[in-house]
Amino acid sequence: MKGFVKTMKSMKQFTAFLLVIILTFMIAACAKTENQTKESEKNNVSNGKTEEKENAKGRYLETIINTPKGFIGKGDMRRLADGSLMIVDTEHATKSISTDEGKTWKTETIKKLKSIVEGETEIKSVSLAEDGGIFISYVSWGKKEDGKMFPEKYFYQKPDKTIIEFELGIEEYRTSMSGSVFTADGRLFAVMQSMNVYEIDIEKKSAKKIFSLENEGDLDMCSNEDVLIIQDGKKVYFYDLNSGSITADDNVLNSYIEKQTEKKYGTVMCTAKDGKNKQTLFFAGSEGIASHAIGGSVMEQLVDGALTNLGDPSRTPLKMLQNEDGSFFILYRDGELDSYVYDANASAVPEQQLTIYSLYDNETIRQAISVFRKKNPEVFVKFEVGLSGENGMTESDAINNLNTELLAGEGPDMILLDGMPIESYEEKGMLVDLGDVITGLESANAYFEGILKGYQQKSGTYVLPFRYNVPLLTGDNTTLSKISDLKTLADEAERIAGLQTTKETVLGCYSAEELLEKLYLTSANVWITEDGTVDKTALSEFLTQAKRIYEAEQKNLDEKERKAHEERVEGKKVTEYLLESGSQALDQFSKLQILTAGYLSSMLDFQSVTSVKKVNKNEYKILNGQDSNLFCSTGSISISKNSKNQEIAKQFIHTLLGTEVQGKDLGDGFPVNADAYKNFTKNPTPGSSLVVGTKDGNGNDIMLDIEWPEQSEIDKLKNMIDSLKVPSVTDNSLKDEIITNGAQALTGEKGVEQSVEEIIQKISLHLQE
Amino acid sequence: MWKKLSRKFHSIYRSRNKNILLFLMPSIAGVFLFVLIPFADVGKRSFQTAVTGEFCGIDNYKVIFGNQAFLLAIRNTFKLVIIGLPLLLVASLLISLVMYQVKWVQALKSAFLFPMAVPTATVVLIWKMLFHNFGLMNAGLESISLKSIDWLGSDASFWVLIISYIWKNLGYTIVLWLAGLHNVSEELKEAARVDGASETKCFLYVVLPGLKPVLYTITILSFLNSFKVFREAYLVAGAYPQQNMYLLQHLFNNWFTHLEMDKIAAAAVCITVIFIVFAVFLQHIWEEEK
Repeated sequence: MKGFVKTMKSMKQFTAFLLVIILTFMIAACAKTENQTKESEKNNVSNGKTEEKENAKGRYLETIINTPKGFIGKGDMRRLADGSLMIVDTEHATKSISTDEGKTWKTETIKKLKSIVEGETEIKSVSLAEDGGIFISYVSWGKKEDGKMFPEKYFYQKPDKTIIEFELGIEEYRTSMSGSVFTADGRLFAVMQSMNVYEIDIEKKSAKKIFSLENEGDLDMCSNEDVLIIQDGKKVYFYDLNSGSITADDNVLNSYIEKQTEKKYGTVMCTAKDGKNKQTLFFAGSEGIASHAIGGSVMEQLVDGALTNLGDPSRTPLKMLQNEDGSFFILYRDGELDSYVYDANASAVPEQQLTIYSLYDNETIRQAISVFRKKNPEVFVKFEVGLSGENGMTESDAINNLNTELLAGEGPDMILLDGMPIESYEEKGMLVDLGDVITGLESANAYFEGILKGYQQKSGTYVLPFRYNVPLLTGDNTTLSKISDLKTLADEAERIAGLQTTKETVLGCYSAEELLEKLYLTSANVWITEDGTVDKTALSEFLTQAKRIYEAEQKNLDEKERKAHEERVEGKKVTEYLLESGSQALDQFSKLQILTAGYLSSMLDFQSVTSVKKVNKNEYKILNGQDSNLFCSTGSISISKNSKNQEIAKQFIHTLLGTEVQGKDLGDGFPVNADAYKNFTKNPTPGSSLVVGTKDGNGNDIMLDIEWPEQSEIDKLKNMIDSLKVPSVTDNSLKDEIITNGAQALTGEKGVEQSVEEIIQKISLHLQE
Repeated sequence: MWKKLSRKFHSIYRSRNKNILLFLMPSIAGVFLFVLIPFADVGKRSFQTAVTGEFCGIDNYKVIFGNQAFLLAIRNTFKLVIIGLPLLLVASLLISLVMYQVKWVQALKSAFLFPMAVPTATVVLIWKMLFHNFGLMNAGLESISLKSIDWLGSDASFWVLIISYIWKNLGYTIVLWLAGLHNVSEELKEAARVDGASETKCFLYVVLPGLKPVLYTITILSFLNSFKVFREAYLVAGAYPQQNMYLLQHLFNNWFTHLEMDKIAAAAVCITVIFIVFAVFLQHIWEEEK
């Protein structure tokens, strides 16, 4: 018995010892796994190779290749059977061939093409054959041809320069060509606007429908000896050239293409065989270059878009080729041809790294990164977007994550402050004073001073706006001359609504919530006092005037119009139909509203405003509410005090606010750089015009020519921008409470005073914190 | 308290099972590493400015006690504990007594833990269906000709918290009470009945004193769980709910968004002190009566 007890005791001791050993191993293993995970995350540079070390080598380097003189990206490019490179320029009607990979070009005119482009024609599609044959489809708008919606014609120039001209009358001229491609053995395929795919027999001058694409989207085509490959922005189709069948869907590829197209139109592709003779597809889009073995299950990222021109939102690829040595040629729509050659000795990412954090994606920042990268190839600028829409994260979660990093003394070098607690970051000393940056900027360029220094405080300037919207009021001159603030706007709204001739709304607001959304922008600044309390009188005045405008809006509305409005705006963002001056101007043209109150965010908006002005004999001026001279920042940047790259970050701001970036209209606001305003307002497509069709109040079709604003209008807008100096409220945390409760005051459910009390009670929590 | 702890350690050390200390060390080290040392850092930060870390004396404490949002959150959290905790304890005890008598109901014991297994996101959806202006609760009220209530937008929102808290924790507390009831000696109860004690007297003088050991555990657990009701409140009504629903965690969350680490640290110290006082008070009562 004693022996048994002793054995049991030693067994217990052994078990305990074993448990301690296991526990120790588990803890060590956990720690190691965690370290490894962190290391792997750290090294997971965005070229997708997950196991690369921080000092990993090997990267595709981007180099500019010469293109034929004057080439602006209109045309096509192809590698010919003899290895030379051919570019056809449809703008200048030339064909250029280079036998030394773009170092020199031999150019000659394509006479037939020259005679076509000199007339009133539009080139619809160009494709080049491996033997040097050139196929072009074009529509002649000059001569009216009865029954032909698209009088499309074609010509093919053989390598020996003989011309074959023909018409096909595909779908009885109701469609035209969107794209075409020659296969390696010279068969020609085309996709029409109707999304039907045809094989065209040039010799027989006939077309045979093969299949239809399912989606109307971003189109690109390529082929090899065996397969014709077409992508429509959501799906990739493989047409077997031998059997004439379409192979099964490649879901990996389809989801990749869909994701790419959602981000940005203009993904191009090419195909080649790898070392094992396996067919591989290559894609070039905003995220970079990726490859996919046909039928395989992964997409491999070869080139990070952020390190090349592909990541630049203003650049779109037109054509892609893979060369025999595995390098790539990408021709951009602006005419630039870049080569991407793998350099095994280059570090996988540039060793210096600058990180920019933003809650939302920002086109101007991406544009600036591209420009900055060219000037500073040794710096990798990483743009982190907190709310990518893929991880279900809320704004508050993203801010809290950022705060955790900042409080740990880490985090990004630069922060975009839109939607973030700017004041808290300033008060807590998280941001760098950018006073010296402003001095540097002002010595190099002229700026709209009021905007550049809009966030200036006594202690310094911690935030610099780089894009903004311009609050704008449009209407007839007499009315506009009487409106200077919210009260006078209400006076005029009442007067206009009371006129016998008025049948439409005054400001295009059909509900109390819509009206408050519109008026919030230019008045919210004055409701909160400097000591953080609510200015009850100002808020009460706001609701009183808003109620007057609301009643004026409702005066000439009936249920039918309200329903029509709901149908018209269904699925649209509030900013699209309620705040953007451009779309409101069109409603003004359609006699749906008399005045427009909103903001300009691009030249397209301004074009609409000035085009309607011509027809309606309108005027426009800065929209003031209870506050005046406001600008609505759509992009403002700061440098984190934790940043170890503050000097590089300051250089980045110089690029961001420099003329090159500021001069491009990306639709996300106007430039702060006054010198860049000239380029920003320059017509990118002189001579072209846009016609918009809409309906008037009686349901009749009406057309509006959208023309580029005249110089006098551009100068007038510049003067108006010069007067802006007060940033509007960017923290929208109070907006919902004010709109929800304020709407009840406007509709009469509650008195104004009662609503004000309730709003104060609701928002007091925000303010008391 | 420290004397008691040190005495306990000494008695363990002197005892034959010195190995116990070896086994306790990892968890003690864990508590030090993950609780006590970080809390000491929080304590230090409560006397410093938020980001720059400069010493600011008791300024942070002055600020939080002058902060209306903090006082409101404290009030609401205490109100929740003072009303919700006794309600939960009494309701769960009554149900467990019934269950203890009716043996077949005990088979459903695990079903009472169901609310704890339901993911918070699902609970929130149910809550929204129940407490929406056009939700089930108001439909019920209207069906008996009563006026509907704005559950999430009026003072009634506090009762949404209470209902949420009791619903979630009732089953778990019942199971704990049942475990306690099983430990009360049947012989004692039998003896009391033989001596002529009524069922009420039997409950008051035999069962209830027998439940005292489990009462302490249940109270502390329920008190801690009362803080967890924030998850539902946050997901139902957001970062800025109706004032009566505004809890300490709302405030901490919003302060963190605005980098108010100094205020968070000072408030955390205050809450911890209150919690320790509450726990020591309970333990004191428990030990005194033992």
